[in-house]
Amino acid sequence: MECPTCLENLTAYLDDELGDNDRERVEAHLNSCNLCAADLQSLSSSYQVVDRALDTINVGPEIWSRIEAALPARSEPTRTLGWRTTVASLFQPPSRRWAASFAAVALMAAFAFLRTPLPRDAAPEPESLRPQLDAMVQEMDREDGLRHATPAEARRDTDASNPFTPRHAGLDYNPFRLAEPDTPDSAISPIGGARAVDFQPQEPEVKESR
Amino acid sequence: MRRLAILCALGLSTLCVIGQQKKDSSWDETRRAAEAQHEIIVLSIKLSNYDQVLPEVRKVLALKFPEEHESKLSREIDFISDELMHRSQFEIAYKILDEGMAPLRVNSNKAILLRRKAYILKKQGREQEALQCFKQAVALESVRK
Repeated sequence: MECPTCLENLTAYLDDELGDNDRERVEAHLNSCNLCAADLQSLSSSYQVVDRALDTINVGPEIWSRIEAALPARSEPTRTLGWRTTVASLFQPPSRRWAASFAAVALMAAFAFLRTPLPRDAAPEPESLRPQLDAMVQEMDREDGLRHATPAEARRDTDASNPFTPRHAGLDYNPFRLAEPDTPDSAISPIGGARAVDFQPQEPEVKESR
Repeated sequence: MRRLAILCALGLSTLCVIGQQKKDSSWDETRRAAEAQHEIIVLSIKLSNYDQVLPEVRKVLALKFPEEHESKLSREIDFISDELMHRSQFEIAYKILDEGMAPLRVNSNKAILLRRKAYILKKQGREQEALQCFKQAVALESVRK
């Protein structure tokens, strides 16, 4: 047995609380170790001092009556607690019943939250759409310029290969006219608004000179 | 039994054809009325008689377009509101856009008008309202009907 182990068991040895095996080991170590033996002697002396002191105190039964009489009268429990008591109670561990109730409520809340479907494709915040809005405005400005341009300007500026680029229409445009082809919804560009339907400006007649 | 089945099939197909023709003629009438009404609206704009534009547009809206031809209606409202914007008739343009959006059932057609409204608001310097309209348009376009 090592000295630290022996020292840990000294009190139990003195109180005769060790098992047979441990007591033999402690005794064997005390026989071979002077330091632990000295510690045992010191501890034993302290025990004797306390025993002697306790023997000299005679406490009669009347002492308890005097102590009880000296205690302040027990008053009705007040319903209002001091703020210190209230604050202290907040830091006390909750009772098992409250803990179980809280856990049950938390579980139900978590269950309800998980069951609630999150909105899909939720619209983004308006401010984050500002660049897209500006791009749309630029595109529609360009189309507006084309729509109100003269036929010659429109022919020059439009890209004939792009089916969504508007041609010159101006106030001659009529979406209900039978000549206007039915543009399916999917053909409407996602950037700008509805496009003016194809309006082919008439080519000026070129007379051949001979 | 076979003759009865053939007769029933013929009868059904005839009914379908008649129904389709009726539908086509009904749409043709609506289209002609809208076409004529459009010319009245354009004339009002040309003559700067802007107070007459909204009542005339309401007559077009009262024609109750079928869903497959709703895109023409949205193009009409888009076109008229744009023309009014170019003539600085912003409030009338907004009213026409709001009233024109109400009967539309297809989301993409509504989105067109919301984009136009956002454009006009932006042109007028009403940034926050323009952003709100644009946001609604984007939201509608993400939900296909």
